[in-house]
Amino acid sequence: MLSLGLIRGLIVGAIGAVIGMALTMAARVALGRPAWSADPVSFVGAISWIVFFLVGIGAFSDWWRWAQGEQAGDPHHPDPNAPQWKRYFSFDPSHKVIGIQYTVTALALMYVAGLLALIMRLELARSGLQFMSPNTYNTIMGLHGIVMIGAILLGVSGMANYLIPLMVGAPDMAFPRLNALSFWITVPGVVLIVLSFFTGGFDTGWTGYPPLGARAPLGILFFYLGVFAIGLSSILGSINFLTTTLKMRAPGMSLFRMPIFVWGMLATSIIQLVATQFIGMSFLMVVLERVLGMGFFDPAKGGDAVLFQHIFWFYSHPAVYIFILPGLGIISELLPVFVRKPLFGYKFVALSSMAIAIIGFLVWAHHMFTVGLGNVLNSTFMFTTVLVAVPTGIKFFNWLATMWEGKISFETPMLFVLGAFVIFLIGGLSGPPNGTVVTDFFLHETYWVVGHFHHTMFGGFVFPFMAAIYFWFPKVTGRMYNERLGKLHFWLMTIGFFMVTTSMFRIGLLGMRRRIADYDPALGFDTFQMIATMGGFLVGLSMLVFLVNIVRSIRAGERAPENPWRSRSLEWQISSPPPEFNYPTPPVVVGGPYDYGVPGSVYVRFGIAGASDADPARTSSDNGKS
Amino acid sequence: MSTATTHTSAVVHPEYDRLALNRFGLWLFFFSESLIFLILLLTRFYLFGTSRPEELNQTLGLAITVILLLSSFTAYRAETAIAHDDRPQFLRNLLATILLGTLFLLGVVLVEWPEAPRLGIVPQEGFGIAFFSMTGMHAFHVLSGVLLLLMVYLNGRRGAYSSDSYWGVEASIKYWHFVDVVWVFFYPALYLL
Amino acid sequence: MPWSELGRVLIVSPHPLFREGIVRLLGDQAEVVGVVASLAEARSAIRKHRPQAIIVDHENVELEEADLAPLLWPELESVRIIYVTLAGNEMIIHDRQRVVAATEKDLLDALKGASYKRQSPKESLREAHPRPAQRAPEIPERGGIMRKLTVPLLITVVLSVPVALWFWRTDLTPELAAREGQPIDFLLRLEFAIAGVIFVLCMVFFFYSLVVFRRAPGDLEDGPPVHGSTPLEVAWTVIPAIIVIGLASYAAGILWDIMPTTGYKDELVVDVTGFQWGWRFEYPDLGITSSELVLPVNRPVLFRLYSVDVIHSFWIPELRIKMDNIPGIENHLRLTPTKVGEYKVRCAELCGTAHAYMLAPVKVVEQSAFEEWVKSQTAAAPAPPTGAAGVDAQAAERGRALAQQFGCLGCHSTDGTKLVGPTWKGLFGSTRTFQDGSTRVADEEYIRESILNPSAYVVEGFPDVMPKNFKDQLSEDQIRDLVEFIKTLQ
Repeated sequence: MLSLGLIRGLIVGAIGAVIGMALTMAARVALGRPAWSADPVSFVGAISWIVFFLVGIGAFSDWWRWAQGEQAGDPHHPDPNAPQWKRYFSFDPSHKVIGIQYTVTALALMYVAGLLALIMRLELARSGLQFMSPNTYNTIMGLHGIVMIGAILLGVSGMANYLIPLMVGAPDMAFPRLNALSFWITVPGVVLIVLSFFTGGFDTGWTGYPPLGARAPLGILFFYLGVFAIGLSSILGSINFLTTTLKMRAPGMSLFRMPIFVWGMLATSIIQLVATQFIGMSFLMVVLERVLGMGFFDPAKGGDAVLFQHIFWFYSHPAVYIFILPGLGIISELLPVFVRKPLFGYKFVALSSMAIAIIGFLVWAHHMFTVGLGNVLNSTFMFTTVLVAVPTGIKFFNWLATMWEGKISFETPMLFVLGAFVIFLIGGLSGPPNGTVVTDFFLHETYWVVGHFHHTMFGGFVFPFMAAIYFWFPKVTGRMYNERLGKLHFWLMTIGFFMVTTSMFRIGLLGMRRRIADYDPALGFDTFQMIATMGGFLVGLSMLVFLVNIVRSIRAGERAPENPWRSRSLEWQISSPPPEFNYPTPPVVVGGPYDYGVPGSVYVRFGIAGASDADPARTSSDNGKS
Repeated sequence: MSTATTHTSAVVHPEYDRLALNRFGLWLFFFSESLIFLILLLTRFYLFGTSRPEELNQTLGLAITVILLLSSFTAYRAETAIAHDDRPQFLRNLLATILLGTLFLLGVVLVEWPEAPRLGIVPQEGFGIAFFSMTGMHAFHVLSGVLLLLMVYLNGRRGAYSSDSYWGVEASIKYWHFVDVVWVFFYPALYLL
Repeated sequence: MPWSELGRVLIVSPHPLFREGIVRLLGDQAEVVGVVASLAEARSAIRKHRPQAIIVDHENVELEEADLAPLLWPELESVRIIYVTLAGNEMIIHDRQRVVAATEKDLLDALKGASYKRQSPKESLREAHPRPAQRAPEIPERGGIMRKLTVPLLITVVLSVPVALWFWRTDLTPELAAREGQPIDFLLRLEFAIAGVIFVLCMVFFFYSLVVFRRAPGDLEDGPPVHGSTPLEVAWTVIPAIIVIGLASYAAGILWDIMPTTGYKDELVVDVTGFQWGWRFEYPDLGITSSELVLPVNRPVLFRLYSVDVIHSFWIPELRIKMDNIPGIENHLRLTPTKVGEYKVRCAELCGTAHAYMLAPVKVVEQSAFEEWVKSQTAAAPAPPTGAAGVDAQAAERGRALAQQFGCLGCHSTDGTKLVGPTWKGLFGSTRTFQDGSTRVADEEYIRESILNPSAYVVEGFPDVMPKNFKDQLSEDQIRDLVEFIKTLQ
C-alpha cells in the first residue's frame, strides 16, 4: 500500500496538518492568547496539509536532490517491473499518465457535483422545505458550483496534458516534474473543499463574497484554501502548455499547421496564466480578513466590499472562457474527421479563440451591473460584453460551413459534438439579455442566468468532453467503447438536459431567484421545478450508462484498430496506446492538418527506428484500403 | 499500455534547447507572480487613493531600500563571476547578497512591523491594510529568495556550477532581481507618494 | 520486419575505413553485393546488381537523395537509401529523418528497424521537396452555390417569422408595474426575437446538412476540399458586430433614460435598509419607519439603499429593476410604480441562512390611500397601546420600534396575516401546537425562549428558519420590551 504515492501523501499530509495545528496552538499560547481559534489554527493546518501531502507523494524529491547538489537527470524512469496501474497513483512525470489522472479525477468530481445537484433538485422539486435546512442547502449548492468548476478545470488539464505533446509531435511536456506537481496539488485542494461540508459549511455560494464570507462558518476557510490550491495547479499547468506549444513543436509545424485544439488550448493557457492569480488573491484577502482581521472588504475598517468583486470577477469571467475554449477546440477538431472535409476558415477559427480570450478580459463587471458602478462604467462593460459574440459567431458559422456539403456520419463522438453545437448556441444566444445592462437589472440573480450558464457549460465543456473521451478512448486504451451504449448516453443526456434548462429559463423569467432552497408556491414554479428535477435525474442516469460503458470497455472492449476514425491527425498515426515517448523519431510536418479531400496531400512524415506500422503517407484517397 | 522501446538510446529525442525552454518557463512564472503584486498595488490605490500617513518611518524605509538595491548589485556580480568561472568572486558576492537580503528581512520584520502600530499603522484597518499586506507578501518572497540563494551558495561551495552549467544560479538570481523590481514599485507607492 | 529483408546491400563511400567498417558490421546478416567508391561506380553497380538497400557515406558522397532518385527510376521499383554519417550526433539519416545511434549496436538496431517504411523514389523526391498540397477549385460556379442555398434560406425565412412573432408577442415576465420597466420589457422581447431568428438560421442549415449531406453507408470518399472563403468571413464578422453594437447603443440610450443621474421633481424618498434577514423602510421626509413598503401610484420614488451587515439586493420583480444594498455604500434606485397592487420585495443577493425568506410586503395604492396610511403611521406613534392590565405601555412602545428595527415584522404580522412565521396577533396567552405534536401556552417565558432559541419550539405548519442570532443582538431588556409589545396585540 505504501508504495503508492497517493497513500503516502495522505498519511504524511494528515500528520503534517496535525503538526501545523499543534505548532500554531503552541505559538498562540506563547503569545498569551487562547490556544484554539478556529480560523488561524485551521489556516495553518490546511497549508501544512497541502505541503506535506506533496512531500509525501514525492513531488519535491528531485528538487530536494538538486538542493543538495545532485544531478537529477531525466525524470522519466518508469519501473518496468511495477504494474502500470500503480503509475496513476504516484508522482509520475509522463504527460499521458498525468492526462489520465486529471481526466479520471475530473470525472469523479463531476459525479460528486452531479450528485449534489440531484440532492438540490430533490429539495427544489416542490415549494416548501422538503428535507433540508437552509444552511445545508446553501453549502450543498455552493459545493455543487465549486466542485463542478474543479471538475471542468481538471478536465481541461486532462485533455491538454494527454493531447498537446502528441499533437505537436513532442515526447512530453516541457517541464514534466512541474506537470506532475500541477496534478497532485489538486488532490489536497479537493479534499479541503469537501472538508468544508464537515467543518460548518458555508453560505455564500461558490462566489464567496465578503462581508458574508468574512463572517461565514469555518467551512468557508477550507473552501477558499482548496480553491487556492486548484488555482495554483491551473497556473503551473499553463506554464507547461505554453512552453510546450510555443517551443517544442515538430519541425515544419508552423503555428497555422497546428491542430486546432492546440490553438484552443493556447488561448486557454494564456487566460489561465494571466487571470488565475486574481481569484487566488481575492480569496487570500478574505482569509486574511478572517485570520488576522485585516479589513480589506470591511467598510468599518476602511475597506470596500466592491473591491472584492472587481478582483474576483477579473478572474472568474475569463475563467468561463478557460472552461469553454478547449471544448470549442474539440468541436473544431472533430468536425472535419466526421464530415470528411477541411475545417472551414481554419485561420479564422484559430484566431477567434485568441480574440475571445482577449475580449474576455474586458468584460468582468457585467457580473456587477447592480452594484451601482454608474451608467458610464455599466455601458462600457455592456459594449465589451456584446463584442464577445462576434468571435463566437465566427466559430459557429465556420462550423456550419464545414458541415455544408460534407459526408456526415453519426458515431457517438460526433453526436456529442452536434449536441454541443446546439446547446452552446442557445447558451450564446441567451447571453445578450444578461449583457445588456437594463435587461440584466431584471435577470440578474434569477434562474435565467442559471439556464444561460448551464447551456454554456454543457455546450462548451460537458458535451465536448464526452465527445473527446469517446473519440480518443481507442487511442488511449487500445480498445473500442460500446457504440449502442454511447448513443443511449447521448440521447438520455440531451433530453434530460433540455428538460432542466427550459424549465430554468421559464421560471427565471417569471422571477425565480437563484440560490434559494424554498420558493413561494403562489408564483407557479412548482411544475417547472418538478420537470427540471426529472430532467436532472435523466442526466444522472445517462452518466451511469457512460460509467458502465467505460468500465466494461476498458476491461473487455473490442481491440480497436489503430485509426478507427481515419483521422489525419498526428496521434492517430502511431500505436494505440501510444509508446512511452510518443514518436520514436520526431515527425516532420509537410502539409496542413485538415486537407481532407485533397488528392495526394500529406500532413506528417515519420522515420524509422520504432516507427509504427502506420503509413502516414496514406491520404484520403486510399484510406480504408489497407 | 505497451512501450515500443525499452532503451532510450534508440529513441530519438529531438534536440530541444533545454536552457531556452527553462528560460521561457521562468519568464512566464515571473509574469504570473508579478500579478500578485499588481493586485496588492491596485488595492492600495483603490482603497486609499494616493494618500498615505505622515507617520511612516522614512529613514527606515530608505535604509532597507538601499540594502535591497545593493543586494541586487552583488547578485549581478555573482552571476557574472560564475559565467566567467571566477568561483571565489561568485561565492563572495552571493554570500553578500544573502546577508543583505537577510538584513532587509530583519529590517522589515523585526523593526518596521513592530514599530508601525506605535505610529498608528495597524494591519487591521486603514492604510495599514495595504502597508502590511504589501510588505508582508514582498517579505515572503524575499525570504524564499534568500533560502533559494542559500541553497545555491551551498551547492556552489561544493563546486556544482561552472560557466557552461549554471542554470540554478541564473534562475535564482533572476528571481532575486524580480523581487527587487517589485520593491522598486512598492517603495514609492508606500512611502513616497 | 526481419533483418534478412535488408536484402542486397550496396555500400557507397570513397573512404576505405567506412566501407570496411560497414561490411564488418553487417557481417553475414545481409548480402553485400557491391562496395564502391564513387557515384559513377554506384550507378553501374546499381544497374548490375539491383540492390535493395544502398548505404551511402553522407560525409563523403555529395548527393541529395533527389540526385539518386532519377538514377534509380525506372530501373527499380523501390529501394531503401540509407545515409550514414559518423560525424557529430547524427548517425543515420534516412528520408530526412534523423536517428541518434551512439553505439554499434544502436546502428545495427536502427538499420534493422522495427518496421521499415518502403518509399518509392517518387515519394522520396516529393518529400525532399515538399510542394504545397493541391487545392481543388474552391467553390463551383456562383450560380451553383446560390441554387444549393435556396432551399435552406427559404426554410429559414419561413420559420423565422412565426418564431420572431411568438417571442415578440408573448409575455414571459410577471405583470409590469413600473414605468422604467417598459423599455426593459420591450428590449427583452426584441432580443428574444433576434435570438430566435439567428437560432432558426443556424438550425436550418445545421439540420439541412445532417439530412442532405449524410454519408452513404460504405462511402469512404472524402468531401470536397473547401478550405474557406475570406469574403464570407468578413461578412459574418462585420454583420454580427454591427448588430451587437447597434443593440448595445440602443440599450445604452434606455439605460440613461431609466437611470437618471438627477432627481425627479416631487420624488418620494424611501430609505431601504437590508439586514439579515429583513427590510426596514424609512420615509425621512415623513418621519415614518415601517416594515412594509407602501407607495403611492404614479409618483417617482428615490430608494436609497443601505445595508448594516452583508450585501443584500432590493428587488420587486414587477417593478423590474434591482439594486444591491452594500454595507458602507449608499446606492440610489429610482422607480415609478404604475399599477395599484400588492407585491413583495425579495432579496436578490445571497445573504446567508434565511435569504430565501428575506421578503417584505409592498402595497402600491392610490394617492388618497397613501395619505391615510401616512397619517396612521405618524399618528400611531404617540398613542399608547391598549391591552391587558399589567402591560407596560412605554416598554411596549419600545418593543414596537424594536420589532421594526430588527425585522421581526418581516416574518411576523401584527394583523393576523400568515407570513413566514406565525402572526403575533393573539399570540400571547394562546395555546401553541408544535411540529412534534406537543403543546404549550404562550407565556412570557415562552416568547423569550423562542427569541433566544428559535428551534426549541417550532409551531406546526411553519419552517424552522427564524434567525438564531438574536441572542447575540438583543439584550434582556429589549426582549422584555418585545414581549410587552406582543402582549398588546390581541
